[in-house]
Amino acid sequence: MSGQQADGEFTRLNAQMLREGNFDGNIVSLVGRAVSFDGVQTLELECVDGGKVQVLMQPDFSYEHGKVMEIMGAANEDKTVQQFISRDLSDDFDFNNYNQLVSKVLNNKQYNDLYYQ
Amino acid sequence: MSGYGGEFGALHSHVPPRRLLALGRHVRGFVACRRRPVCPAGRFAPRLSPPPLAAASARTGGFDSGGTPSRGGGSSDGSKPRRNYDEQTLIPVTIKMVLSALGDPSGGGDLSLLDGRPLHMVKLVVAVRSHEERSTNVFLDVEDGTGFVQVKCWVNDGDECSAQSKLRQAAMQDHTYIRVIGQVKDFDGQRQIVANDVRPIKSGNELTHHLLEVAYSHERGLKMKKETAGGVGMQYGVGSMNSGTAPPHTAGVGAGGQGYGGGMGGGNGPSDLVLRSIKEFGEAEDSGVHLDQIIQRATAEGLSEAQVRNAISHLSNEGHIYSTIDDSHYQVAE
Repeated sequence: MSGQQADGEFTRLNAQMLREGNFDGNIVSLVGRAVSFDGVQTLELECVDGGKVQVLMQPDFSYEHGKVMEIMGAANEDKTVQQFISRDLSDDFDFNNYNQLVSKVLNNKQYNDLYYQ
Repeated sequence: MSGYGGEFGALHSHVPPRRLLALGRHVRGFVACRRRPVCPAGRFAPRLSPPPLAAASARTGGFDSGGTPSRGGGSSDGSKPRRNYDEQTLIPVTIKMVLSALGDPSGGGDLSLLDGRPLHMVKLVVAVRSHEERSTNVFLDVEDGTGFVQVKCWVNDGDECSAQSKLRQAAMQDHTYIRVIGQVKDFDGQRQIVANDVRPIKSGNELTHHLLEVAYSHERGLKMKKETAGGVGMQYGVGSMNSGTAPPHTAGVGAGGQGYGGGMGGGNGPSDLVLRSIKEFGEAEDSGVHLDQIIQRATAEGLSEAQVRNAISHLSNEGHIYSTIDDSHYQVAE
C-alpha cells in the first residue's frame, strides 16, 4: 500500500499488518501499550494484536510504562517506525475492537471510499 | 406514521410518548425529550415583541426569528428554504468523506456524499494538529488518517454557557482526539467544517466506535436506499438505533440490518401478517390480542407457531407492539 498519501492521511495498522505489508516511507499509525524503553530512543510498543513493534522516539519523549497511546510516524524498511507524534488514549481502550477495526474494516475494499483517497 | 427518516432524523412532534419510549430502550444514551415542538400555526403566530424595524415585519414570527442554533443552522442563512425534518440528518463521517462530497449541481449549496446521502450536519472524531485562537473564533486544524481539514468554531463571549466554552478550551489541545459536530461549508474555494460543538473525547473507544459507525451508517444508508427503490410501503426508518456500537465481527449491517428488514408495514412477511392481525383484533379490545388468537389466525394463513413467536419478539423489540396485561397479550403501538 505504498502510494501517494494525502495530507492528514495515515494508515492504521497492527503489528502483523506492519510486518507483512509494505509501508516503507509511508506515514502509519500504531495503537498500543508502551512496554519498555531503552532510555535513549527505542520504545517497545505492544500493539492491539499483541505483536511488538520497535518505535524510534523523538528526544522529547517521556516514558510511562503501560500507557496506551497512538504513535504516528514513518515506517522504515526494517519494520521499525520513526515516531513523529504520539497521542494519548484512555486506559480503558478496547484493544480487540480496534484490532478488528483495522484488520477487517478499514482495509475492506467495500469501504475504500469512506477511508482512503 | 412517516415519522423517522434519515440517520438520526428529527422526531415529529406528534410521535406519541409510548412509541418514543419503546424505541428509546434500544438507543444507548437516548435522551427521551423531544425537540421543541413546532406547531404549524407557530410560524404565523404574532411576535411576542414588536419588530425593531418596519423591514423586519416582513419576517414571520414564532420560531423562525434569529435562526437559533437549535434549528440545526439551516435558517440562519435566510435565503435557503428550511428542509423538512426527514432531511435534517446527523451523519458520522470521515474527513475524506467531507472532502469528497459533491456540491449541488444547481448551485443550491447543499452537499451530498459520494454514496448519495445528502449532508446536513456531520459528526467526526479527529485529532487536533494545531489550533489558532482569534477574538471571535477558533480554528482547529484536524486530521483523522483519511484527510486534513480546518474546523471553525464561533466564539460568543457574552452569550455562551461556560460549560460549552470550557469544553472548547479543552478541545484546543494539540495531539488529542476531539469530537466535532457541525456543518460542511465551502469557504473561499476551500472546504471547511463550521462547528456547533467541539469537545475532547472521553475515551479512546470513541475513536474506534466512530470509525466503525461510519461504515455502519454507510451500509445502512445503502440498504435504505435499496428498500425505498423497491417501493415497499411504510418506512419505519429506525436508522442506527439498534445498537450503540456497531458489531465488530460482521462487516456492514449485521444485527441492525436484520432487524430493519422485517419491520415493514406494507409487505407480506410473517411480521407484517402478525402486525396486521394484532391491529385488527386489537381495535376492539383495550387489553390487546391474546397470543393464541394471533397464532390461530396466522396458522390459518400458513404460518407456523414458531414463526409467529419470532415475529412477535421481533415486532416487540422494534417497538411496533407492546405487551399489555401479561406476556400473552399484545397491542399495536400507534
